[in-house]
Amino acid sequence: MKKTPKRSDSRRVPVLCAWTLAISLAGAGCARDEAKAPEAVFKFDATVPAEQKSRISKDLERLQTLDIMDLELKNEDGLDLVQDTVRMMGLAKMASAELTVWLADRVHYVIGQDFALNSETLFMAPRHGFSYENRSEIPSIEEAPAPVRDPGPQPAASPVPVHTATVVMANIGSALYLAGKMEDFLIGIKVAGDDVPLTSPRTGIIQVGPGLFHPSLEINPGEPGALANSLERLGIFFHEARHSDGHGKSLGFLHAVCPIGDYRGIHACDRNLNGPYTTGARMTQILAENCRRRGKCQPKETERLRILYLDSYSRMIPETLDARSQSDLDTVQAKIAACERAGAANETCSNLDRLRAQMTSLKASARITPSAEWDAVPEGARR
Amino acid sequence: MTPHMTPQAKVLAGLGATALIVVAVLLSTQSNTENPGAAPQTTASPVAEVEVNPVAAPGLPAPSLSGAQAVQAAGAPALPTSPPLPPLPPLDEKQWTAQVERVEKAIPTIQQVRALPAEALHETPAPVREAAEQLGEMSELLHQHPEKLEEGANFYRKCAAQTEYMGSIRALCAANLRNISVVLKKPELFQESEYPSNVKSLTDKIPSGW
Repeated sequence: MKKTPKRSDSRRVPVLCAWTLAISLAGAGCARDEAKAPEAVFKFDATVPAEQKSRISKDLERLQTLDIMDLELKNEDGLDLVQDTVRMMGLAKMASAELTVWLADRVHYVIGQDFALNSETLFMAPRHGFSYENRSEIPSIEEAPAPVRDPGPQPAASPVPVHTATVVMANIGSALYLAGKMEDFLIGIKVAGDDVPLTSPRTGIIQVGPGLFHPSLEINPGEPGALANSLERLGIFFHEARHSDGHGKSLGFLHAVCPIGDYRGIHACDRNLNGPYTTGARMTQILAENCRRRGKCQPKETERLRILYLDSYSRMIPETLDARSQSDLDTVQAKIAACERAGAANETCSNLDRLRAQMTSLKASARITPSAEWDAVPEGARR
Repeated sequence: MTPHMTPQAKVLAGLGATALIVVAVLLSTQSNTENPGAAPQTTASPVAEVEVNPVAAPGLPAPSLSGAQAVQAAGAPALPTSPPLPPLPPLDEKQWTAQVERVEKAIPTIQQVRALPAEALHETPAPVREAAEQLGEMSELLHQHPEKLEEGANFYRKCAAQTEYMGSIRALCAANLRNISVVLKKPELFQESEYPSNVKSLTDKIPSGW
């Protein structure tokens, strides 16, 4: 990956202020280094089932008592992974209290899958002088192209039958803020007994669903209370919390359509170096390898956590080609893929070498924009 | 969005446009299809069939280094660790072959993953997670039965070379091959140049040490 100038999360809300905001509803004190009860970090809406609330609370308790050691891992630029992640996330250090505050700055309410977004829960909030910052700057909402079946024989069904879909986790607050900004009216939401105007993506409303806890998706399905299961969920929390950052073009750190790779054409990548997939990947990696080094995760748990963070890392787009070159490359790549599947003996693929040379030439002549870190400073402020 | 939409409808339309939803595709069995209210059954861990009751059999050698012990042997400071696994009898070939078959059957191809609904691909897809579960069982097995490391290396080499596998899976296999090659003192088993750049960059994310 090419080196790019790094920008840090330059405007950190003063920690004491953020901590006060996060826990004010619980009426606790402002000592930054003390572990806080989970309900002081998030406020749970009544739509979160008791069992889910209990497990999330347990996950937060575990985060608050983690001791992260020096892992001697490097990032893609050869820098110490933990220290670079401290920089990337705007932390003072990689410690449980700091990580908890980071989450608490970005997540304030947790709602359940059954929380309905309708006229009973949403309202037009009084502005009281509020106006949207960066009014004319809206992030790019990339749309995935219509699915095009790869030519050639279709694959056999997945080895695992798939029937239904359910929510794992979603950052609703950021989405609602963006929706309000696009229409220039201030949305309010009734959540956990509060009437909350969405004056910033940092309002932080996360929706959780049963997918977050389903045994088939857990690292250790045989032990629901296993630490590894908490680490997996925490990684997802860090991913979703990152969507509460950004302003203007970086607002919400929206995902991008993957131009290449396993998820090519799918709206499931990040066109930056510090977005949700990178944040989730790094935190999962740090938590998982710390667990392994401390002998608290079994080899099989480590193996499964590694797949998760590798999958997340694979969704970081390191560079973007100009649209025309990307389109031409996509066409050539599809032809090459079809030929490789059909076998070189296929007479329509006699020009396979020419296709590959064409791809090389296209890449060489393309205008390439390396991905960079986006400005994570949040837009607006919570009321 | 049109100016005639109610504010609430505009919000919902805006939500649809932002695509911040992370959706997982649940595994389900035929019984779940018949009874939608039931929670999907989980796949029983196949290792349950081969796991030996961890009561040390007399006269057997101690197990090889656990992960934490390997880290310590590599020069890292001593860490508080859980007790080492008790010695187990050697794994018979039939059990090993059965686990290899389970893993190979579980690993999806890229095409199979891409055939899933798009909303199922925002998070690690369920088939990849299922493969991870089986790869996890294999890793556990190899940690418990170091006499199988050579065969494990052969499996991982084959897995890492499969161009139809997801990059994340190939990278994990390649990293395991790399780490086992160090334990076996056979560095020639892992040749980084054999893998494309996307697999190499992911392989580098996995720390050394078996």
